Amino acid sequence: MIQCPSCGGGLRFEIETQKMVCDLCGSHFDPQLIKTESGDSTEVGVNAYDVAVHICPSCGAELLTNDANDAVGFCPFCGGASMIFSQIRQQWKPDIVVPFSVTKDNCKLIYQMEAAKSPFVSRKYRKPGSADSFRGIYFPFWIIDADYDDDYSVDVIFSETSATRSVAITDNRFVGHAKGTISYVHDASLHFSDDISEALSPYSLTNAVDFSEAYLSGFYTEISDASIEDYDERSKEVLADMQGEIIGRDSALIDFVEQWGTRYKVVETKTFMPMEEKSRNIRKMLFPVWFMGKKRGSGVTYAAINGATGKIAAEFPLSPLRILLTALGIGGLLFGISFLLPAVTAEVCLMICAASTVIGHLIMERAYQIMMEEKLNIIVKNRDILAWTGFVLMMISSATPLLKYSKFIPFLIVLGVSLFIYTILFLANIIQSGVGIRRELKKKRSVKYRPQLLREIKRYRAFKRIIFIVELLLIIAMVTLLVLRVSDPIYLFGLCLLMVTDLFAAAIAVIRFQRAMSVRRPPQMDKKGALYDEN
Amino acid sequence: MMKTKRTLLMLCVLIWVLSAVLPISASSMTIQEEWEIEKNTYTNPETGFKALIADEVKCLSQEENDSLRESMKPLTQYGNIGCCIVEQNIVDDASDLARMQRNIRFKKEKYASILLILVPKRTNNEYTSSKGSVFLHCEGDLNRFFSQRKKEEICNSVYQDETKETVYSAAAEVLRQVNEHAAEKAPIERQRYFSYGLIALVLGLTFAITLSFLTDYNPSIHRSEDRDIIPSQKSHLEISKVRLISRNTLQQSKPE
Repeated sequence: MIQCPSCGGGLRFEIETQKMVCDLCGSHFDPQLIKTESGDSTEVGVNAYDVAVHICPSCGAELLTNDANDAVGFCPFCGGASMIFSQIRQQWKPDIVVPFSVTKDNCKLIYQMEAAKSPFVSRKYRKPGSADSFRGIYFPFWIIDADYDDDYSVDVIFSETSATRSVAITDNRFVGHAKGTISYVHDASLHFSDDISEALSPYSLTNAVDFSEAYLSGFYTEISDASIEDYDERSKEVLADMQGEIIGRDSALIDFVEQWGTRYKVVETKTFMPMEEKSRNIRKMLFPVWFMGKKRGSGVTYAAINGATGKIAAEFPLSPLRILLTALGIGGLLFGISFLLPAVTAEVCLMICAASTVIGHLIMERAYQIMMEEKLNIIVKNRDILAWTGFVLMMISSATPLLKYSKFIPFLIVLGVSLFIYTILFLANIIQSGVGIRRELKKKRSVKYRPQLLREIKRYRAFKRIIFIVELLLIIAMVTLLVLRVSDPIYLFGLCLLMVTDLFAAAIAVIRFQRAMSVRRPPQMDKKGALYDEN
Repeated sequence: MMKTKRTLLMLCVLIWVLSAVLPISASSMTIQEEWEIEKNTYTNPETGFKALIADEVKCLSQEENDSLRESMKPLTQYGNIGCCIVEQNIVDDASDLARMQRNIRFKKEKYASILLILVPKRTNNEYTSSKGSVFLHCEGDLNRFFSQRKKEEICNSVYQDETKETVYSAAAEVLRQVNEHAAEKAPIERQRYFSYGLIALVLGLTFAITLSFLTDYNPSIHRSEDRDIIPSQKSHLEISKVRLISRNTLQQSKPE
């Protein structure tokens, strides 16, 4: 505990004033000038400070405080009931710290506003007490400063636009020399999932100050258990990407391009020959994050707010009940409108149901792609031509009920065969994309800490295949009924009901997948044993 | 007392005069004729709806009358139905005549449909107007079964050749088509709620899934303008000695 120089009471860091405040005497102090028990933070050579380690008996997660008497309460990582004081330990001192700028009240407001953006999220996330569990935690980060002094070459596309035409000038290769530094920030905690940490970026260093333990008073600190070597490969990839982007925006390059006339502008850049790093400097930083873990069944959902910028990354599972209520509401409205319309035959009803279920399947496939892209940063390769061909075929086949009285039976048979061939191709696409996704996930570091993702994706794809085959069989059954000129409405309405059931099953699958993506397993599955022993 | 009697007598005379003058009493039917129509009226024992034939020009024999009434019996499951055969005046509007017949024949009924057959007026055995025509006025369920276009189609399909068609054959043909169409449409009407219920259900679910997943309402979508996929970067690279080593050109025309 950092004692007040005036009265000996405990000091804590006050976000509003950015100063240390004593709750007993009300005095304010500059955090940089406060002496701590570990010694003067400005003393040269002191690179560690004392921390009290609190361990969660459920998941083994650790939180650090600078006061052993602090009551940590529940675990923010697994939602466990309490964390127990374990020991006093020496923790590495970071080079800089960014103090909290966002207060807890603002944090709660940001969370509730985010929850309110989607009407399909359960109301319990919007209740006033839902954000009380946020904890102010300082997460450790590595700052990698890469120095360059090297030649580069970059391909640039730029355009010339006039009133009558637009010209894209491609394959322009520029070579030049660059000297300077590119820095990027990456979290150094195994508990802090990479997808959340990336979602909270950029990590602004505008308010960064030299480290002082005083800033940590009243907050928690996460341990740094990921070494910089873990990020070697990734940092090289990211820095190479960043080179092209930075060079493309550089005024020297733009000035050079403009010598062909001011009407040119740079459209795209891609580094052809990236520069080699001359040297690399690594710094350690503590960055503020408001963090909350909520238990949801056997899993946990996280919400995190950047303590300096207020940017939020939160996981909200969709509520199946709210989606169903919305569906019933829209359906009720449409049913009411139907009283103004003439009655439709069973064939027309079948056509509309078939077309709607095909559209519904395509929408849900797109929803799955969006979740993969957003959640895992994986682009699902879309065989657009295949998908659209199949879509057109299915829409045409949906209209076949209207051909009931036509003589185009050979046409219907050809259509049915086409659908069958399309299904084989589509299934092959699903299988191939599933293999591709697994390959992509294995490349990504995050899969190591969310092993259930692969299982969920596999389960969803298998279920999707079954649903799609059922859908195709239903469409073939529809074509068959028409070829056989079956006009008994019982068969036609029965087929409609089966199609609606198939669509419901697909909707449940995608909603369940979204919920599975939003709920993580508690971290104890990823740790070896409940207690973490540094030695 | 005398005053009361005189008043009542004057009232009766007034009513008699008015009834003789007003269109509502334009019917030339006598009480005897009304009784005959009543005698030939069929009442559906299940629905209570009636089918009657009002032949004001007396061109149907009893057998033809009975035959037409048999044809009309199936229609009584949907509502009251009347077949009225009247003389056509040049200025008469068929729809107004049909409504008038409906009010006369089915005064207190809620729904009643009329098959109106207009027979050319004969004076001194000479035709004073062109060929006859048929008009269909529908109410209630029958009105839901028949669009305006369908009614016109049925009515125009008869009396193509006046010399060959009689009133009976025209009426029989129209009733046959009406029965056929009603039999086709009635099951569809009965299925209306079920079919629209299914359609509403599947469309409602499709819309709900679209809204929840493909719009900004999807909590899994991070707003792209807020997301910085590449980790935080800060740079102060100085670029120098830039030179171009290759160049290509691709023409693109600007859309109008």
